[in-house]
Amino acid sequence: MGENIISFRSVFAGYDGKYVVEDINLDVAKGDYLGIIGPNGGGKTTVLKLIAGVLKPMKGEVRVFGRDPYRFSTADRLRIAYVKQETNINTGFPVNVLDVVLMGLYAGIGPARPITKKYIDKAHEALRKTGMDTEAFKHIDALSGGQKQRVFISRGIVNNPELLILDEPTTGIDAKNQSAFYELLYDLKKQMNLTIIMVSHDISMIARQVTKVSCVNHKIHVHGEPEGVLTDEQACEVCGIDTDFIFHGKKTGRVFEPQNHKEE
Amino acid sequence: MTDILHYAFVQKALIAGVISGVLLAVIGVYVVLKKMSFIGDGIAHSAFGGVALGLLLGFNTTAAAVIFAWVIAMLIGISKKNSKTSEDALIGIFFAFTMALGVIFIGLNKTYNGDIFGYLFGDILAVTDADLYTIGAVCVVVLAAVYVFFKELLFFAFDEEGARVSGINTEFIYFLLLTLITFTIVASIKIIGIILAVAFLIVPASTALLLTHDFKKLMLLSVIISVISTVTGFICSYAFNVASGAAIVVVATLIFGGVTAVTRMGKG
Repeated sequence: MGENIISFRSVFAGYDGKYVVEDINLDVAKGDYLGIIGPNGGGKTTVLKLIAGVLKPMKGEVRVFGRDPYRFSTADRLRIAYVKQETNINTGFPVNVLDVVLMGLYAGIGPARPITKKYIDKAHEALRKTGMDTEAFKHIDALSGGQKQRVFISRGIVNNPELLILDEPTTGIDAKNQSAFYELLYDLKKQMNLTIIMVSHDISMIARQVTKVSCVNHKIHVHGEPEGVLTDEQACEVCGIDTDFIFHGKKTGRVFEPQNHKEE
Repeated sequence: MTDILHYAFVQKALIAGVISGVLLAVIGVYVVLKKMSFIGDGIAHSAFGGVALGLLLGFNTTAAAVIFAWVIAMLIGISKKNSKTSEDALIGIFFAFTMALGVIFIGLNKTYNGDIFGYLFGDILAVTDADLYTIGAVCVVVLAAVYVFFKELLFFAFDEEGARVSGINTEFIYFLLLTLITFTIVASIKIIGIILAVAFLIVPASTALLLTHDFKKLMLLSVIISVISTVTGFICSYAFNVASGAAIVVVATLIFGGVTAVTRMGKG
């Protein structure tokens, strides 16, 4: 097991003075592939926002790379890529695919400095990794939801981050493209030695691909390896997971087989 | 008609109009893309309170409007981040409050207030040397800030949360943009007027957005449309003896209507 890069200690967080998550304790090690599952409104995105440093905890302590992510320096922020669920950001905005990926480099380039060929090459390289370089000069709105999600991942990985955070990245993507998307994530994880944290409703994918699962419904009800978490009937019920499907799936091998992507 | 160009006051008016048109067009691109037109309106109307206070106390009205509108813009920005009230409602509250203060200040002023109409609707021919220098200085400062923070403003306008996560100081960029909007509006009051300033922030950029999907071309087109509207509006204002701000906005809106019709026909 790698060193711990994320730790939550008795964290309470939410919006407008109301807690969405309470008393969260969580550790994520370098190289982990963590799937976060749970019902809508249960606080999954809130946990991601705390890790990304977009949201400040009301109580408790969040540490990412040993520091408070809400007060991250620019250098620390470049170590994290955060890909949101929403791909229809600011529809009609006059930018092409390459422009969007270049944005990921802006903080590192700094004010008043030009975007040189070196940066443009880096953006193309990130697009190649997600198979989107052929679309580099298309307007962002001309892409499908799945293609846009790949572009936002390119923007995230353009700085060679250590941690990739994804919030329901396959929402609105058809089944065929979903499995291609998960293949891509798995390849990126291997190529770039990434730690990945992903919120997903896709329990079968969670079971096949991730190394750890957290079940979040205002609290973390259970955290561990998928086999243990997804067979914990009580935890699954609290987190609104279809236990019939899972237990049926386990018996028939539909959920836990094949484990072709499971890390050793 | 060209004879009038020999007059110094006409030259001053045209130069000030063109500079103001460029400024409004550039900042207007961000206002439109970030969907901040209501906050722009709030800032413009709060400048009215500043102008009225300046007239009441005998201060320089531009300086009074800048300070007053900037303080209100910052209050809107801070309240948005810390209040449970929605941004829309907050802007509406500050907007009404500052207009009300302006009306009270005018009521308290015992001297003649004939200038007020010019501040509200623009009086391009009344531009003085001091106004021209002020507009020129504001133009240099605003365009320099846009040049320096071009990338950061673009990312902020496209995806604020994404920009913050990637390491851009989005709070600074937000307050910078509010400051640039304030400076631009106040510097353009003599040309376009308080009531119509926000229209001229929005219309050229919205027209340009119908014509291109490229950000740099958008900015250039917005400036071209703005300058054409300003010069044509100025000529109409002079020819028909109507308020310059109103004439400029009517021309800009007609161009918007024409471009909308042509682009729709093109799609149809």
